[in-house]
Order: sequence, then structure tokens, then C-alpha cells
Amino acid sequence: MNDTLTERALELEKNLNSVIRGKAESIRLVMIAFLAGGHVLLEDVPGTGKTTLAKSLARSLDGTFRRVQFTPDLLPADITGSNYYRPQEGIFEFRPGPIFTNILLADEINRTSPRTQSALLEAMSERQVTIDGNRRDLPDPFFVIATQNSSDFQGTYPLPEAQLDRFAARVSLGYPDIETEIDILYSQNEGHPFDVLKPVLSAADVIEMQADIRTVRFERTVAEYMMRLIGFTRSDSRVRLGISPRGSLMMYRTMQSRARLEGRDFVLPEDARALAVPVLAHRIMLDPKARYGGVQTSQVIEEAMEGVPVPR
Amino acid sequence: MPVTKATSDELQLVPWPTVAPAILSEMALYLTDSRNPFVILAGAICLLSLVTKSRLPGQGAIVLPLRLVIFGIVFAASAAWRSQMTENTGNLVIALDNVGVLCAFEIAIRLWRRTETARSDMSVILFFSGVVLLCACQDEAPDHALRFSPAFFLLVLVIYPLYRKRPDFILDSPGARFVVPIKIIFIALALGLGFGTAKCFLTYQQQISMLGENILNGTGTLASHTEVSGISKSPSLGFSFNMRGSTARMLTLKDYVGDPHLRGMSFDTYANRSWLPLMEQRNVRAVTGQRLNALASGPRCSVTRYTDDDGVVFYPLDAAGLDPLNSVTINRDLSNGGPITFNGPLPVQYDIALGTGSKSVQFFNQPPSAPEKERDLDVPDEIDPRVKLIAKNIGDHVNDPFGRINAVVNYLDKNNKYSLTTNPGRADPLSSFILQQKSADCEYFASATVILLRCLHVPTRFVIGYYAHEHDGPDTIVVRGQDAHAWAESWIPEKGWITVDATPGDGRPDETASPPSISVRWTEALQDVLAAVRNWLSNLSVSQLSSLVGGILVCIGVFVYVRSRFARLTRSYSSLFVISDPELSKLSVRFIAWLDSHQLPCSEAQTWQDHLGRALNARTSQSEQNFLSKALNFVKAYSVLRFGLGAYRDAQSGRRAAALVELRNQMDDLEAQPAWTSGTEEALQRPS
Repeated sequence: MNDTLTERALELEKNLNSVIRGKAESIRLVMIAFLAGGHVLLEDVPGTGKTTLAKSLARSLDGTFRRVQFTPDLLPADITGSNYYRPQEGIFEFRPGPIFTNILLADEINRTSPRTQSALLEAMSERQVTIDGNRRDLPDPFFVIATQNSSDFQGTYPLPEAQLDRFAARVSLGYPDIETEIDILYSQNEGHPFDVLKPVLSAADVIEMQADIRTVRFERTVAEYMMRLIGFTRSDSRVRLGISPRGSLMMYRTMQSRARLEGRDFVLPEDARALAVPVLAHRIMLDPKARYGGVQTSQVIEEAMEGVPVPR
Repeated sequence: MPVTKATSDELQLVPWPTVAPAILSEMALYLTDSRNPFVILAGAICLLSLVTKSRLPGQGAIVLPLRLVIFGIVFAASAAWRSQMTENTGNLVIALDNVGVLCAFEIAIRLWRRTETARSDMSVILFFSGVVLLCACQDEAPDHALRFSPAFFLLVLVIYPLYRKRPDFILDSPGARFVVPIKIIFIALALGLGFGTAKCFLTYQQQISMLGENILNGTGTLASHTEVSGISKSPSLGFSFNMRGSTARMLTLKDYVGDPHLRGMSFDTYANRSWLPLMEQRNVRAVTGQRLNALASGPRCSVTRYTDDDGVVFYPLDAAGLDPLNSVTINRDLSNGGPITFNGPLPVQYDIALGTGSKSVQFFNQPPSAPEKERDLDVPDEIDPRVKLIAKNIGDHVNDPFGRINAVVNYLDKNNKYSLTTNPGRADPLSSFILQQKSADCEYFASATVILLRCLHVPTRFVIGYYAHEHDGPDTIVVRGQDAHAWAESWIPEKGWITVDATPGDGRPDETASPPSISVRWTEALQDVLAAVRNWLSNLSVSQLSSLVGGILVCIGVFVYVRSRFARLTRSYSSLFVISDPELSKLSVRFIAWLDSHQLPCSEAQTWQDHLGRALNARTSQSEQNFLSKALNFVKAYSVLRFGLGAYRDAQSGRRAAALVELRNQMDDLEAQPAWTSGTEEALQRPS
């Protein structure tokens, strides 16, 4: 990626930081996932800026934005769209669903039925939907920010691990600190920062960036280190389901993305260590005994990082 | 048994198999202290927990007061009972009973409460069950502990690992109708297995203790107690069919030069086809170990004895004395013909004083007393009279005893052949051997020598022992079971006892013995090494042993430390990730050493960048920040060469070379820095 594109990616990040204050690290993770061609799962309590983040990202890209509030009665067709019969013309007309957008905010994805979840998740991985036998491609770039409330489980359909695996990263914005929140209050005195956002990247730029990221050098030693981290989790006795090859591929891409955003054309072991928990932790399924024993998946990842020597 | 996923409610229950060891220990306590009905009550409460899922809330208003009430009742009952106790019941017994009952109730409480710590309660209950069992192990009733302990430990060993591996299985919900009988059957089976184990121990207690004793003594199960040593304490002349001794090592002699005949036991009475010592009518002077000690100067031969199946000491006829070593005691066994026996841990070692050849110091070559001489001349009635005629023809015309001895030996050599297969016949075997010129083994030849010489009025006795012939090196002789031999000893006035071996040359052990295989020799060599180590260790004092162990531990510690430091300094960080570029590898080693020298050790699982970044964030002093920034710059430049600059590896090696030179300069610059100041470690430990 040439320096101009890198600068504009950083400009995009700056745009997001101007709207979502005090969450530079989380925004960087979202950027990494976005440029790696993945999707993000935001686990957060209400009112922390998830929708604002998604809208800001869309505004910065000069792309389209759709929001879907998932409810238990939502059908797959409500996501993907469906064919309508027009009796006057005697033909079926396809009306695309909200999924046909550049940035999709899938709010409270765990509140809809597994059938509807599957429809979205399938589209996320294949970048296409099939309706009545017709395949329709989704726009490019296509980025999904799915959210779920980590503290409310009543009436939810938790995403199974196989579906969670389709998200590049699991991020949490969380509450801002007091100083930042005060800044937020004062900054919105005369208008929302979102209103003054200008696009800094086009869709074509994003596509170019995503292609360029794949050229970031990935030294075999670093790849071995990454795989040893992943292998450590697979052999852990507390883990029932380890990280899949899809997970290792996404880890690979996100490491390249992070390296690029930091201005490097090569990947470092630090990239693996920085991304291990957000990219890998949600892909692990723990043994019930470990789960009930209070073990967290992030703990398993951290122990893997403590146990595997780093190449130098 | 249905295996269901544990729900959150069930996770708050103690796993059901925990009841088994609790019940077991409470049964033991009740059998020990049958005066105490509380134990039955506690056990019943424990059993009831199997039937229902209902439980008391974990802590708080119910469980704590319940504990207090129970403890109060137990102590009150104990006081009331104490007033009625018999004189034989001590305070310790009462205390143990009380402790056992309290533990039993505590177990019941924990089984019956619902709590988030229920799974850890399993370990606590097992512990308390053990305490109850210990309380049952009172002096009055040790049998109960013996009967219950194996079952108890068996249950714990089965339950605990099973629970850790299959918590779903163990956490299966109690209360289902068909589950309870299965659980009871499981507990019953476990108890049965435990009782069976205890029964085995009781039945075979003696064999097990003997086995243990043998192992501790070093003989173990590998030593051949059934090996044929060829030595019999009551040799008899009978049927034999190719009876050969074993190749098992019996003795090792070092620096022995002399008669190969090593005597063990002598016999002077032939009766009923056997040589018997017949000690009852004799007046044998007791000879203790002290009187067997070496009394004369002269060369010494050290002997090592490996088996104790006969316990007999073997020595040449002209030995001056015996000198037991270490913890060996040597005595004359009065009960069986007076052989010299030893008593000590195997292998037994003793010295033979070979003396100077003078008769006065030949301790074992004493003239026979009158009764002994009479027996040594006695020809029993069972010997065929024709034997006396033969003897008369052989040597009556020779006057001196030496001549008669030679005549007898020559006669037997000429008329009889050596054979390991003998059929003695119905008549006296010795008479048959002489009269019919049969073939037989050395016992026959020795017996015939004795009888014929007695017929010629030469006092002679029958001796069994070993024939030492196998040299193992210039100064070592090995004696094996197959070297067992029999010969005669005759008394010549002014000469003393002399060895008379009439067995033909081809019948002596040096001709008949088969050499041991290489595996036998290697095994013996290994046994010798182990025995030497054992002896050496046993000779060490406590302080020496402690020093030795301490020294070994220190050496191990130093070795491990040096190895880890050496590996740290020499390997190109982690054998997992080899740096192919030797220059880069050297630089990484230098940097690691630099970090260590500046009290900035970086763990294997941490990157230099993260490590130094944390250190930098923790420092406020400008000089320290500059110091660390330089190190970080080195790390960044190093990372480019290590993980990046792909193109430069091949096409633009000049640029890579320049980058390497720059990196080396940075490293030199870092190494030129003065020592790191204090406070770094503290800084690194602050949370990032």
C-alpha cells in the first residue's frame, strides 16, 4: 500500500476517533478487521457508540450504511431481500434487503432466531446471497458490525462457536473514562461530531487497500510462532474446540493489516501478540468443567502467549 | 447409568460417590466404638443424601447453628458417657471418638448443603473421612483399620481421578429411582474389593513380608534359592542321573594360592547309606567367632559369598584362621557336624588367613580326639565284609600311611570310572561301588576312599566342599555351584590332616564344569558393581552421606543453572526459531547478553519491543529514557533485518550488508553504555 493510501487510512481512523472519543485501541481493531476483509463483533452494553461507529465508518467511506435491529420475529428474507410479484407486469421483482450495503450494523444479532442468524452469517462469509435460486453479489467493500449485549441473556439465541468463527475480531468499546466522557458532553454542545465528518476514502480505495495488505511480508518464523500459539490452544486440555484454519487465516490477514497500519511492510511477532486475544479468543470453545470453573477464553490465549517462546 | 450434562443446580451438590468412603470410615468408627450411636445417625444422614436432590442452603442461618447444636450434643453425650466409662478406657480413646463423630457429622453437613463450592467439598469430605478412619485406628481395635483401610484408599483412588476426568459422569443427578440401586451396588462392590484386598494381605502376610525382606537384603526374587549348589548337609549315596550343579556364583576368592579343595563340612559316621555327623553323643567344644579370628600372620585371601542356602563357610584345610568383616559373624554350628557358618547381609565377605604353613597355626588342622579318632576308624557293619578283604589286598603289605593312601587312590582310579549316572542297587551302595567296580560320582569315590583307608587303619573322614579352579583374572578365582565336590581327609601322625581326592581327573570339577555364558558374566559384573556401591554407601556415616547428597544436589543445581545460562547465551534465541543469518544470530546473542548485563532480562515469551516499551513507559528520568530508546531503536532496526527486507536478501544484498553494519554499530554503541541504574526491575514489575 503506498504511503498515500496509508495516510488516508490513518485519516479514516482519525475520523472515527473524532467521533468515538477515548477508544483508539478499539477503533484500531475495527480498522484492522475492516482492512483485512473481515467483520467485527461488538460486545457491549447499550449506548456506547456502536451505531455511531458504524455510521461514521460509512460516512468516511462515502459508502452506504444500513442498520438492522434484530428481533426474534425477523425472517431471513428481511435481511437478504426477496422477490415480489408484480401482477401488472406479471413478473417478479427483486427488492434487496438491508444486507446490500457497504456497512451493515446488525444490532443485537443474538436476539434473532438461528435461522436468520445463519442467513446473515452465510452472506458474510460468501459475499453473496442466493434468493430463489438466483445468486446476487453483495457490494464491495462489505463490512458487518454485529453487536450483542454481553450482560443480557434473557430471550437470546447465543451465537454458536461455529458462527462466531466468521467474525474477524471481537471488540468491546466499553464506557469511556470520566475525562473523556466530559469531553464528549462538551463536544456535542453545538452539534454532533458526526455531522461534520467528510469522506476520506472511496470504495475503490478500500478495495485497493485490502489487496495491498496481502502483500505485506509474512516471515515464516512469525507464521510458525502464530501457528504455535494456535496449536497451544488446540492441545490445551481445557479447550473442547480449538481455533480453526479459518481462524488462523483471519489471524494472518489481521496481522498483515496491523503491520500496514503501523507503516510496516512486514509482520512482527508483536502483531500476533497484540491481536491474539481479540482475533482468537471468541473462536475457542471451552470444556464445561473449565467454563464452570471460571476459565475465560482470553485467559487461555494469554497463557498460550506466556508459554510459547517468541522468535527474535 | 445415564450421563447427563450437569445443570447449575447439580453443580452445587457434592458428587455422589463421595458418600462411599465416608460411610466406610464411619463403619470402621462404629465397630471400634460401638457405644456411640451418633456414628450410625451420621452415616444414615449421609446415605439419605443419595436419594434426594433437596439440600440445605450453603451457609448462613441454618448450617452454622446446626453445627453448633450438633457439637454441643456430642460433647454433652461424651461427658455423660465418660461418667460411666470403665477404668480401661483412656482419655485419648474418648477424644478420638469425639473427633471421629464430629468429623462424621461435618461430612453429613457438607453432603447436605447446596453451595457453589460443592465440588471442592468433595476433597474436604475425603479428608474428613480419612480423619474418621484414623480415629477408628485406636489401640483397642487395629483389625478394623486393617480391614477398612485398603477399601478406603481404593475408593479414594478410584473416585478422585474419575471425577477429575469425567465430571459429567460423577455429577449425574441423584434421585432417579433406577440410579440409586446402581450407586449402592457400586459402593458395595468397592467395599467387597477392599475387603478382598485386605483378606489377601492377611492370608499372604508372611509371604509378602518375606519377599520384602529378601528384596531389602539384596537377594530379592532374582537370587536363585533353588539353584543347586551341590552341597548337602546330609550327603547320601543313592541314585543319580546326570545331576549337575548350577553355574550360579557361590564364592569369589581374591589372592588365593593353595589347595583348590575348599572344605565346608566333614562327616565321620556312615549309616544307612548316608554320612551323618551324629552330634548327640559327642562332646564338642563350642567355638565362637572370636576364636575363629585370624591368629597368625601371613597372606590373606578375601572371600565373597553370594548365597546363603547352606550358610557354610568354605576354607582350605591348611588355613590359619578366618577373619569376618563388617557385620558378619562366624560361628561353629554345633547342631550339624560342626560346620562353620556365617550370619550377615549378603554378599558375605570374610578373609582367610593362609598362614605360614606351620602346623601350629593351622587352626582347623587339629589332631582328632580319642572319640573322633575312633569314629574316623570305624567301619560300620552295613559294609560288606568283602570290602575289608579288598582293602587288605590293596594296602596291607604297605607299612606307612602315605603308601596305603596311594594304594587306595590308585586302586579306585584303576577299577572305577567317574559318572554322573549311578544306580546304587538294593544292597549297600558303597559296598556295591567297590565290589562291582561301578561308575559313580565324587561322593562315591570319596566314601570308598574313607572306608578302604579305615579298613587299613588310617583315620579318615568324608568331606564336602568346593573345588576352586575357575580363574577370572590373575588373582581371582570364581567358585560356582557346579564346582561342588567330595573328597576324604586322612590323619597322618606328625603330618596332620591331609586331603585325599580319589576322584579321577576327568571327574573333578575342573574337567566337568561348563564355562558360564557371557550373559552370566555380565550379570555378575553388574551385581558386583551394585554390591560395591551398596557397601560403600552403608559404610558412610550420617554426616558423610548428608554431605554426599548435598554435594550431588549442588552439582545438579549448578549444572542446570550453567546449562540454562549457556543455552540462553549461545542459542539463537529459542531452538524453535533458528536465525539463518549467522551475523544476525550473533547480534541477537549479544543483545540478550546486553539485556542480562543491564538487569533487563527478557522472558522467552515476551518480545524485546514490548519488554523495552514497558520499561520505557515506566521510567521518567530523561537519561533512562534515552538509554532505553537507544535499545528500542536497535530492536526496530534488528526487526527490519530479521522479519522484513525480504527483497534485500537476494537482489540487493548490498543494502542488507549496509543495514547489518549499521546494526552492529548500534550494538557496539549499546555495549559501550555504562551499567543500568537501579530501579529497572521495579519499573518492569509495575503494571503496564
